[in-house]
Amino acid sequence: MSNQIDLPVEVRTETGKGVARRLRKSGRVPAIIYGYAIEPTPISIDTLALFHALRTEAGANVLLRIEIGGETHLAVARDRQFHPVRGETLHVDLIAVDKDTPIAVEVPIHLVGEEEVASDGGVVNQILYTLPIQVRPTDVPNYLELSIAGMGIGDVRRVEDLASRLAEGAKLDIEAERTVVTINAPVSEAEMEAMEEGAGIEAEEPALVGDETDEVEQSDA
Amino acid sequence: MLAPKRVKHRKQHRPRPLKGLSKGHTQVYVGDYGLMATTPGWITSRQIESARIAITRAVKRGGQLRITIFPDRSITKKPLETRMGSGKGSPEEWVAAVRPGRVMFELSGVSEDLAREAMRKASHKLPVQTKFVMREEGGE
Repeated sequence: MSNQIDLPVEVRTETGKGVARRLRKSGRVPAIIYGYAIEPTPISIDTLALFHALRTEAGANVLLRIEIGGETHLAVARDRQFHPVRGETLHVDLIAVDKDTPIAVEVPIHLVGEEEVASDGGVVNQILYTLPIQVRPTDVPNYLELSIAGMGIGDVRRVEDLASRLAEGAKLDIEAERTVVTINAPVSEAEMEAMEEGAGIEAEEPALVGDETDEVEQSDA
Repeated sequence: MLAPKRVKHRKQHRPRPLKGLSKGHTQVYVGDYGLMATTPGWITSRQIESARIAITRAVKRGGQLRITIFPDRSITKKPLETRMGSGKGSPEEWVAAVRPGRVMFELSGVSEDLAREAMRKASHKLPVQTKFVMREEGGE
């Protein structure tokens, strides 16, 4: 179940990229809070405090307690923007939530029992890494475990296999038939050789878009 | 080797020097591990192929590799010892323009140590500096 963490924030009156850059330089992350029972309010958060708040067992779905103007709001982090290379958080949206109203969250899927599959020679191919669900903010699971022990080549686990692990009142936000994980056959020696033989082959010169239509027209005539 | 199947024009304007950071595919989306460019550069289809072979040899028969760049820009060259003029040269190779932050290869279904080693070998085949990245649920 979701932890609740106190996250100290400061309301900021100035907005814009200059202000945001100065804030980042001084060790704070520009952010905004909006949603249930609160007007959109620009805020700033200490970079380190935000980092630690989002690094608990609950991960990015952690429930944050934010105090603004003497009132405490429950919020979740959404739409985090990262620096493409350094990976540091540039901006974060906090969505204030009502603890009794379901919200849309993506819960991480953890596979267990991978060692027993590996001995079979099969290659685990995880297709879905998070499960979108609608659930009350206080009932958000930290992660969902899916056992793949005993699966053989060609076996499939689907979203419906995870449905029983959800809390009461939680609803799937995705089709139950969607594949979560499959076990693929490893590449055979012959396929590896064929791949390497074909490696040096130059690609043919691409066709021009207009030429194909001309050919079709001529053949029609 | 990777190359477009159909194009609108045989020759394109020469790509300008790459400025700024990558706008898309800056995180590992479809695998567990990735190789990210930290400097800009043009990656030719030969280099992509070479890196792919390095990775598949390193992971042997296991693992699932995805190449997340595509060489869609044609580069022309004039023949050697030719005087200037007489029009644009003929298309010589296809390149992918890569900016810092772009995840170029994604790998899943192998251990972290093996993925690191495979990506290290692939990075030697590429004209850009790279770093090994992993899928992280909390981001950052």
